[in-house]
Amino acid sequence: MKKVVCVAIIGKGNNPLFIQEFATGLTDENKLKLHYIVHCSLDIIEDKPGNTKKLSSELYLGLLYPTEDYKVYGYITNSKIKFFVVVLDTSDIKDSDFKIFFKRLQNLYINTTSNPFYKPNTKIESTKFLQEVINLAPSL
Amino acid sequence: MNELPDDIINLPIPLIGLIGSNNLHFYIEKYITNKQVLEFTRSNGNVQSHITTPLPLSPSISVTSSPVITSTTAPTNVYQNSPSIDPIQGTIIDQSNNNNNNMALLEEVFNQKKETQVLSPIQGSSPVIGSTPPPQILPTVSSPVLGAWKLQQQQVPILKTLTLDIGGVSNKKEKRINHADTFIPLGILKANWIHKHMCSLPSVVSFFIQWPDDKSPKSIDPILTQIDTIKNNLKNRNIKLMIAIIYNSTTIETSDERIIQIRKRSEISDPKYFLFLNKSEFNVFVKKWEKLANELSDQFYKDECNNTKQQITKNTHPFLIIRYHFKIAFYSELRSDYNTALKYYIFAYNSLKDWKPTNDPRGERFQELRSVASIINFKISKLYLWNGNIQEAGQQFDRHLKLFRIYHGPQEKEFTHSAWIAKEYQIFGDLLEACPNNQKLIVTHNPSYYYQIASKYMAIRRKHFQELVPDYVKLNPVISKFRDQKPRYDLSIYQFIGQAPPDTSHPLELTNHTHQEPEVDIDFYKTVAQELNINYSQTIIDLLSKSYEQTLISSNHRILSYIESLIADEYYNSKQYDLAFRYYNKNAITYRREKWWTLLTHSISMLLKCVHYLNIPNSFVNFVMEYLSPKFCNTLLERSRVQDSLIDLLVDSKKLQPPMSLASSLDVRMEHTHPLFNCRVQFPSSFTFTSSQTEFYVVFETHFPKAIRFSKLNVLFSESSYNSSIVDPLPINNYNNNNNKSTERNDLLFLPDESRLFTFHLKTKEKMELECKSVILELQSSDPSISLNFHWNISEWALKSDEINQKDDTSSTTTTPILSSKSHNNNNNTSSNNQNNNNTTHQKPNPYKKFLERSSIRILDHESLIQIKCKHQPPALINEFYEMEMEILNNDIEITKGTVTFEINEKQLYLEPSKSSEILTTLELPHIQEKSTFKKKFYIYSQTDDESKLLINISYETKSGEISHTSKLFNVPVLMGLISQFQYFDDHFQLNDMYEGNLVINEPVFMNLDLKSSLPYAISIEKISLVIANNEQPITPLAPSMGNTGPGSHPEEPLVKLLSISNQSLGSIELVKDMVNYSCWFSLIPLITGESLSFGQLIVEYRRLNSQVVNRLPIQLPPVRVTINPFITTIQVPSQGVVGAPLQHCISIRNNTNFLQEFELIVVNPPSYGSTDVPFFFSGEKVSSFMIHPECNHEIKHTLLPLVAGKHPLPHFKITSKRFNKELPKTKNTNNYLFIKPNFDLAN
Repeated sequence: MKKVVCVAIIGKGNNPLFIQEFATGLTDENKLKLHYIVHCSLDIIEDKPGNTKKLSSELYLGLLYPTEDYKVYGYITNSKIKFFVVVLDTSDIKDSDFKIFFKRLQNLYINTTSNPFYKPNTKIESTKFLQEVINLAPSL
Repeated sequence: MNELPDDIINLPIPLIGLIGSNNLHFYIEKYITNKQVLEFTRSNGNVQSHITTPLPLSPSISVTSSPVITSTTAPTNVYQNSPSIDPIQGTIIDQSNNNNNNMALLEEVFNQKKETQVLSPIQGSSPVIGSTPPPQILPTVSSPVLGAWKLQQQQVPILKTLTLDIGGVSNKKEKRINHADTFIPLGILKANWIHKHMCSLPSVVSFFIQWPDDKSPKSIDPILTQIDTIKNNLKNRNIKLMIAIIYNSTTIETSDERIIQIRKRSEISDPKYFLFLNKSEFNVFVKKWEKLANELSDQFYKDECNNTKQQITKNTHPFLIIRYHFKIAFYSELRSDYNTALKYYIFAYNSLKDWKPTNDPRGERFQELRSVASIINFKISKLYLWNGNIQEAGQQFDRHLKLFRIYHGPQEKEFTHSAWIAKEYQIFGDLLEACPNNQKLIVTHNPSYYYQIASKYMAIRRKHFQELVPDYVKLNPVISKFRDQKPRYDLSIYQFIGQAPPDTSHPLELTNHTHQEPEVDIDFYKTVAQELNINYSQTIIDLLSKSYEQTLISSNHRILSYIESLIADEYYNSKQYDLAFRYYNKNAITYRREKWWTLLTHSISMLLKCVHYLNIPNSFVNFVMEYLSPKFCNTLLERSRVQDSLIDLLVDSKKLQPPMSLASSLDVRMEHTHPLFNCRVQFPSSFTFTSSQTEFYVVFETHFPKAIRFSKLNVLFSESSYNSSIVDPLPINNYNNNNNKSTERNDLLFLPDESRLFTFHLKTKEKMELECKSVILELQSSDPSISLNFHWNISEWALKSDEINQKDDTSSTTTTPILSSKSHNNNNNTSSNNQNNNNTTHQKPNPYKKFLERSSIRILDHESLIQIKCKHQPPALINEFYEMEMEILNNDIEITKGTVTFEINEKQLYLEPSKSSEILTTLELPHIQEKSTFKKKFYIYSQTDDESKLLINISYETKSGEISHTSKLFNVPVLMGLISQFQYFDDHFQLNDMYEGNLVINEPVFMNLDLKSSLPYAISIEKISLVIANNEQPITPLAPSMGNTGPGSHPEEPLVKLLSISNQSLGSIELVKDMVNYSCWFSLIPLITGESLSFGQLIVEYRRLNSQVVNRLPIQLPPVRVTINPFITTIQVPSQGVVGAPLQHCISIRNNTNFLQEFELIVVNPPSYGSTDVPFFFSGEKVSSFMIHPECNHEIKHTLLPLVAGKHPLPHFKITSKRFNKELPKTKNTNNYLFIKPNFDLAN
């Protein structure tokens, strides 16, 4: 059973750059709910103590927003790009695994956005990036 | 359906039984010490027993902070007007009253909030995108409410009292010897156990004995009997006994035999529990009593705990293990030993968790387990929270729900499980909300979240009930019977918590039904009947409102938006579209701002449905336009369907369900950069010329999912005569494209994602700033009078031509300014060529690319290419017909006609050098060929020495019809030019100093004119003439009687008489500045006296050397004073003589004055050059004085005898007027000579 339900990357202005669902058989309603969950998680990031610091050595934010079915984990870069992973509530994944996952995800993001043809702070539509994220998701 | 009773909710208090002296019980209860605790009370303030009273009222949603907005439309829930049961609390809600009250209250709240909450109005206007901030709702300040429970600080007694009769304590059931081995419990917790310990089974009994006054030993016999009865009654329950003896006398003998006997009989080991009460010290007694009662009570519960612990070791049945753990925990709670209580509650819960029911097809055990678990979980959660262990409480709740989330039981009852889960979430939410330390709450344990999940399970409950409960149950006639009954939530009817109550109905009741459906229990029918009364939507919205309220405290606006969307969904499901609209609209504002297109797509799609159901076509159109935006995360099919609905709205409204159509034409204001449909305009250049052709480009960039055909394209300009339009005659639902995409099309069909360029050809008229105001695309409905107009207000955002010009300097555009090209080609090309060149440099903008937008153009007059020159030789002279020759050089194309207008300052232009010639003001231009010239001479005549400013305006029309204007200003200084100097000489050519410089009337004078030129060029003086002025002025009174110019003199008399002019016969003389002057003599005789007389004008006729025109320059003669001589002296003497021959010399003096004048005469003979001293001998008076009367003559005669020949001056006859003390001028001048001939006769 896949643990990762959704991976999301949110821009500096809290606009979605990349949201990809992984669970199979998700209805439109559930997909929409995932968007709502990720969107609501932004509130939690803003409420997190220490988030106001300009630079933080700890980028991993931990568990943000447990819902009945899912858990949302977050990661914020120093440039205020936020990474979210939505996993099933039944998943029991260690924080260290999340940190590794987020670090890899950040590297993928950096490689993709370093493309000179990518316009910063816009939706990531690279199929290569999508495939890499799809390949990365099972590692969690 | 078991509700948590008061005894579960509230903190348990030890119960003390009071026996005897009932009149004292009230005072004991009154004086018992209170302690302050944070405890729940019912919101209605009536603490009621769960046994006899109905269950708590519906949770009252705090309307002061609820985001619930009442609907103005009638709710459509079919059960709305019937009584229902609150699904959470299981309480009957009279929907007809309560709901209406709620609605009325909420409506009032909404009305109050409407001023501050900015919600897009539904009616009358379209929703304004992004224009309204999310409403801010103030958090509530009321205390937390747990359902109908309210948490507050309150005073509770440390002990509860209960009046008992002697032997009134119920007996404990005797257990069999092998009870522990053989007993199989029917349930986990008995329904009445808690209440029994709270209300009917005391821990201590206090027996109050009224001490008899009779001192006989037999007087205590009844008391002893009572004590025995009480002892026996309490014995098997191990209830503690304490005795108080009430005495009336001041003292009582404690060593009284009777007292010792009573003490022994009561078997109270510790004498301190044997009290004496004097009524005069009642307060002190109660304090002592309550302390001892507390000790005994604690001992009792401690003993009970120990006994129960022993039972645990003896029993192995899981129900009993759960039950005993629960009992120990409850006893510990009564002892205020909360740590132990928590520990045993957890034990109880764990025991319950470990037990898995088998063979439970009807789910009854599961139902019982979850009910008991609910109570234990509540206790654990409450104790955790009250200790500040929020994290542990949350984890306990998560475990609890994880354990019971999966339903076990028959399918048709699954809705009861959803109801139970919803209730659990709500209760935990309420607990969190009521938690004393809830400021430490984090988002993972926020009441908002639990209310939200509760609402979700409420929706699942509805779904399960609607889908899984068979219709034959819902429609069973028995249901209607139970629907009208109030539910029996009396725990007394239950045997075990969580089990269905035993059926107590009469065996004959429901006979038919039990025969037909023996498997369906009556309790299920009752449950279904109550379920049918529930207003799910209202309940869900109430829960979401509480969630909203809690989220509002933490100001998490995104979570608020999510809850708003849930509320909106519920309103939509309950068909309250107006309220759903408002919440979706708030949602949309948030998601627009944050650019969450997925969520916005959902909000807009729901808004579309809402406005459709609400029949608001205006808003419908706006939302359609937004929904079709390519940014939205919707499929092509969905977008196509929505586009079709827009067309159906106009063409065939019946296709829409429900039907909807436009009642009147609708203007949709479009943004400049609308993502679906944007419009850009461009004039090819920032300016053009009058009477020329220019183009105007309109580009539409569209992203419609399928083809769309508009009816009309209107372009409106600041000058309405330029307004243009394109009409497509085909109906808007005809999508056939007959033209090739690549070819130029004139229709208004837009293919998917097509951008089109429309070119308008404008013929410019007069000079102006032409601006495109707006562009309108119309969708014509089936009714010709109704159309949907997409209106781009270009003037609001487009750049003007001036701004474009600034940009032109810095940015490279395809437009080449006309002037620059002209300046390069001015000498070589004609303007028409320039124009053509310019037209070719303009390229049409590519509709698929960005281009510089330009909404206005400046229409200028055609630039004149003719040159105006004037040949002339300044300066001009006064009164000169100053010759100018205008030359027009035509650098333009052939001029067919034109007009020259001359403007000059207060002067005249003449075609000929004559005042009688035609005055020149306008001149019609003839046909002037290209590169040809046109010349015209004219003359400026100026009478003043100033500057002539001549402005020549030329308007002409070329062969190509272009009209141009040009003008040129010429300045011509006008000067006097000649410097004249006049001098007067007397007849001896002496400068006239006679009579102090005055001229003398009737005496000849010579006037000398000296002309000098100040002109830079030479002129030729042709003729000089003098125009004598006439005496037009009356004679000045200064000399009324002087001379012969009396009052009667003729006014037309000339002032002077011209005798001769020296240059009369002289030819023309060239006058050159600083080189050649001109002189002339005039011989004059003044005829009239005057103080300041100008004898007339000198007319200088001259001509320029290169011209034949002779001009006349009048020079006014300088004014002189002409006076008369007071004495006219006439000397008569011959001009020659002969030596020796006497000559007659006669001086005649006339006195012209009115006075008698005295004169002196002295004759001085000049020296002679000959042999004699004097040239003459004379006879007559040498020295004399004489007087002359006025108007009389006097003659002085001398006879001269020349002595020497030659030229000799006459003797000086010096006649001096005594009055004037001056010598007469005639005699003063001694330049009279006499030529004396020798007298040859005398010599011979």
